[in-house]
Amino acid sequence: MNREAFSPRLILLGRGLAFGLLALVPLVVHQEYYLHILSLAFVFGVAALGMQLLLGYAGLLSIGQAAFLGIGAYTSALLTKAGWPFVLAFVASGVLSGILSLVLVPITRLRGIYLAVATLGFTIIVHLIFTNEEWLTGGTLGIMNITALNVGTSKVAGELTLYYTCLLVLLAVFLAFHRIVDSRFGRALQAIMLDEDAARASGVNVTMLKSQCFVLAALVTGFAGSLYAHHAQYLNPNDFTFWKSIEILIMVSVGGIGSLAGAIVGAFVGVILPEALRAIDQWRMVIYGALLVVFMGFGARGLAGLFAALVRRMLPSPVAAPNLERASVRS
Amino acid sequence: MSVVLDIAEITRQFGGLFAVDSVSTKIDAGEVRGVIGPNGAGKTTLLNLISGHLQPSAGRIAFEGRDVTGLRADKLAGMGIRRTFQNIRLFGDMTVLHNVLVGLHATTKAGICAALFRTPGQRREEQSMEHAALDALDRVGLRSYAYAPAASLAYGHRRLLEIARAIVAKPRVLLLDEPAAGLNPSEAVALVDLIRRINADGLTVVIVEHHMDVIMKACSRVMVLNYGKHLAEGPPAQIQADPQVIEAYLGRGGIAERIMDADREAATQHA
Repeated sequence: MNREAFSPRLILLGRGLAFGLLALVPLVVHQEYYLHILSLAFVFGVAALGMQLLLGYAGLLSIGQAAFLGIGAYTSALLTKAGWPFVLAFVASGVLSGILSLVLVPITRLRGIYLAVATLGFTIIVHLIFTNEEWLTGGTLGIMNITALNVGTSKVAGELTLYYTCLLVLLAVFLAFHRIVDSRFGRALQAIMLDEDAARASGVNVTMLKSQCFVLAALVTGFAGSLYAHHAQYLNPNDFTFWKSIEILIMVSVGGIGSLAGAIVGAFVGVILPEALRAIDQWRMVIYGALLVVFMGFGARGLAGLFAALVRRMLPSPVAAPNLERASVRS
Repeated sequence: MSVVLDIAEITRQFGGLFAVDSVSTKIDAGEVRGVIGPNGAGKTTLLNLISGHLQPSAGRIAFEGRDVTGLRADKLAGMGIRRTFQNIRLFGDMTVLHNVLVGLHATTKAGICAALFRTPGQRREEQSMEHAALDALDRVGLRSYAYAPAASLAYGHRRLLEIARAIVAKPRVLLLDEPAAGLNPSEAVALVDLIRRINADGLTVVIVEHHMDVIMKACSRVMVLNYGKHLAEGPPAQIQADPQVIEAYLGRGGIAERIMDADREAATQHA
């Protein structure tokens, strides 16, 4: 796979540099708007990582991630309104989202399109609950004036608090997933994705592992939801329709299925590109859609795959040579 | 000798078809059991029933004296019944080493939290897993390919990798579904040698195979299935001469004997 194509040290350096640059951005960029957009990209980076674990490592196509994002968002909004400190509400959002995902454990045995449709159903139901349970969620009016994250008093301090909180969560989830996929658990997930029967014959409890993966993805998506609530400071049930699930799926696909770093890059594209195209208003979605088609034309490996191919071409012998054979492998 | 697998009147129906029809046999510890029969005789179905990939419609299977009928494949794999597949099934995108590491899943235990915090126990386990996996690759002669993607291996090597993945956890029983299919004669000879070495370590082996010379050279006992039924069983030489078996394979008539003779000749040439 792509992530094995370079020396580990080089990868580490690149990633450290990328996160370091992101941490320095607020020193250079002072417009709150830009920081706000980047923070949102971090939030969706977390959600995309959850989706990547499902799709890229276990082969589980879920259209239910919007529901978990929503559950996390509403939980965090309601708890902070009830006086909970953000940190506790944040943890509770992930935990509740993970617990509620247990409802779906019986359907994780479904494969491919069947799982996608079943999780789509879940998203529809959760959206209906957000819309109709007015006593809890405020119904179609949503929830307004959600507590802002702010360690200071000024609006700028608030923006910075949000920015660094989101970046920190993204970094933590990225590192955590990086370790998790490179382990007995991660290998078993990949085995399930590549050949379920062979995984079973090798002693992998397929249903159990799929369920664990599903709960883990719901947990971090719940975390992302919590950040989302405090980022937007306003929740509307229509933020959590199945379209949001599709958006997250697009991020992972554009970034490159099977690459954790790719999921984050995909989230950046998915959040920033529509914003950047805002200037040309009615052509915005047309161009966005067309770009998606072009991106996918690069193949299932997405931007991560494209990047890997570029670097491989630029770096001659020592790094690239032993991997030429690997690069040519298709399965 | 102690019985490892006690198969009692096992039956599997697909709709109205009896793929395996009330088959009984006892497989002793240390045996290399060949299962032969014409296409559609139910050999692979029998293997799937033993490995838990299919559930029997009737009958019982006991493994080392314990009733294991109806247990899931992963459970049985954990207990020590491992298998390979007729149409080689590897994790193509993973490295050769990682393929074998997955074979250790049931006998190891580090979970998500251990992976997250890289506990000392987890690191020790990873190390011993890698050690065992490289050993298994050594056994089949694929150690130098450890870090190549499994999909890049040549056909014969893929068969060997599948065997390495199946034996890495030191199982009690190894089920091989047509391990020699697609191998050239010298690869087939090496396979027989490998099966003998694995067997010498105390592993009971069950082989479904069409290559008669592999069956004759590797097996201590052969059973014949025909239309899902147990037709005959005995030492290889006796089975080869059994008129019932010859008829099942080749039908009645003079041509049958002639083809059998030609087969035998070819087998001696390979040897």
